[in-house]
Amino acid sequence: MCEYQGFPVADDQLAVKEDQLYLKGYRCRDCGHVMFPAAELCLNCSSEQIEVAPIGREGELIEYTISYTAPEGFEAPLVQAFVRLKEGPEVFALLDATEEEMKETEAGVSLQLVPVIREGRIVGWRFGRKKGMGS
Amino acid sequence: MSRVVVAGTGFHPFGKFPEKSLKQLSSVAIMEALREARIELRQIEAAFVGNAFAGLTTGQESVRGQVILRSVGLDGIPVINVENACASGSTALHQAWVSILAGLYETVLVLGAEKLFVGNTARSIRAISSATDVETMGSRGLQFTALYAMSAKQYMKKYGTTIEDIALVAVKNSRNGSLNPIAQFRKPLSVEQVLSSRMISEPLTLYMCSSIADGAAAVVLMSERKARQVGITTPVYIRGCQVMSGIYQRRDGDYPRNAVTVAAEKTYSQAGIGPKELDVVEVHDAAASSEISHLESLGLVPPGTGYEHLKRGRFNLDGDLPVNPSGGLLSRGHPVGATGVAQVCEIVRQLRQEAGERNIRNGKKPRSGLCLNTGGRVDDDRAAIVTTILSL
Repeated sequence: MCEYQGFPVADDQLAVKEDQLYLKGYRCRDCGHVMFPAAELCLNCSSEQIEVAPIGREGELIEYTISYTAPEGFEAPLVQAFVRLKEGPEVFALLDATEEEMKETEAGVSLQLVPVIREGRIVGWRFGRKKGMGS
Repeated sequence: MSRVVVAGTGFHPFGKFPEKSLKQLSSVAIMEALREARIELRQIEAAFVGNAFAGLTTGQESVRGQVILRSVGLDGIPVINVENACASGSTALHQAWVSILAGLYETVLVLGAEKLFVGNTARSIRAISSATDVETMGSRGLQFTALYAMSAKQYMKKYGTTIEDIALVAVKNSRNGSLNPIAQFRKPLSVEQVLSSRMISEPLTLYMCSSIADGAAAVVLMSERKARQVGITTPVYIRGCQVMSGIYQRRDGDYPRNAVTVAAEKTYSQAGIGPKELDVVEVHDAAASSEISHLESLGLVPPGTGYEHLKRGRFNLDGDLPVNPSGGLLSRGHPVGATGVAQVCEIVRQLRQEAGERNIRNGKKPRSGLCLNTGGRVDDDRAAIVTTILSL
């Protein structure tokens, strides 16, 4: 368990390094391949020499949709997306954005990792528009 | 390779049957398939049962097949339970086919069954979310309609396709479904009705997305020798069948990105029947847009041209390549574990020209057909892909 801005982090996909929140990526020590989510062997060269690597603070929007139904525990409208992390992996992510904000958002826009905070704990992560780049 | 015949096909209608159990749905499908195959229950030597979600929707997590088959008095045989998300039924078919090819059995039952109307839609939706990597997607807000919506948006941008074009798939499949007595939705829809239905995941509206359903489908497979012995008059053969997982995060690697194309090419080669020789196909139209993407992945039309062919009417019952004559997942319905078996039942009936009002009518006698059943999602691709080629 670690903390970010004083909040305990309760999502094992997240890591904190030097007071910054990251996605817990995995890097192969032999070939350098970066993976997210976790893999047990390197998905490129099958090496067992894998280390945790903080990644995913920044990414680029590949595509998104606004869903008007939401699974249990989530609220519609829900912005679902695929994001290409700066380090390479393509991940499914929810976007921290309203329907209105998405009207001015195109594929290719820069995104940053944002924590989902509930009842004083970080329970998950989403991606949001990078500060200073929004309209 | 020895030859395997689909000797009997059967259904319980697809739809909303809150009062019926998985056993009740299944027994109707099984008995129809047995009658068509001209055999008694006791002649079944093994059974492969495809179901995806009974564990989560009804609590029957284990021994689903034995429980269902006990209720019709089928026991004392190998019962193999098969789960592969939306491709459970076709995966069961593949395994049954292999067991006959291996020479183990000559008469095998394949059942696909699903119960999703259990009085608790949230529970059924949660069950469907489990057809993903639950840790990384299923519990993190992912919905299948969103995946299809994002693919549709990318396709539209790449090829200039309009939402009206995509609606035409739902219109065609609703017209076919209106002629199918087992279909969940039997009302033909107009483009306007499809477009004005409720938005689910933009740009896909309600009528562009398949619904949850209850239902069952069954087939009896036989060795060629057995089929001749019982007097099957129009044998339809399984010429090839491939089951594959997706191909993940390999767009820059040695593998082609599109796993459906890989599965299809293997099946064409196995069957000795190529895309140009197919007369009718059933593909996994979980969303209207996926029908066209699948046709392109299967090599039936060049990439980016599918909607042009659709608009020219090529995929209609009277077109030169009818697609989803059953109404597809959109109209026949999508009781998950039953879908792959239902696709095979439809192609068999089409090849025998026993599909009634849905018989394809383009002046050609159909000889060969293909089914594409896909399931689940892992990372950036599907979890399971099954392609089956059948012919007279």
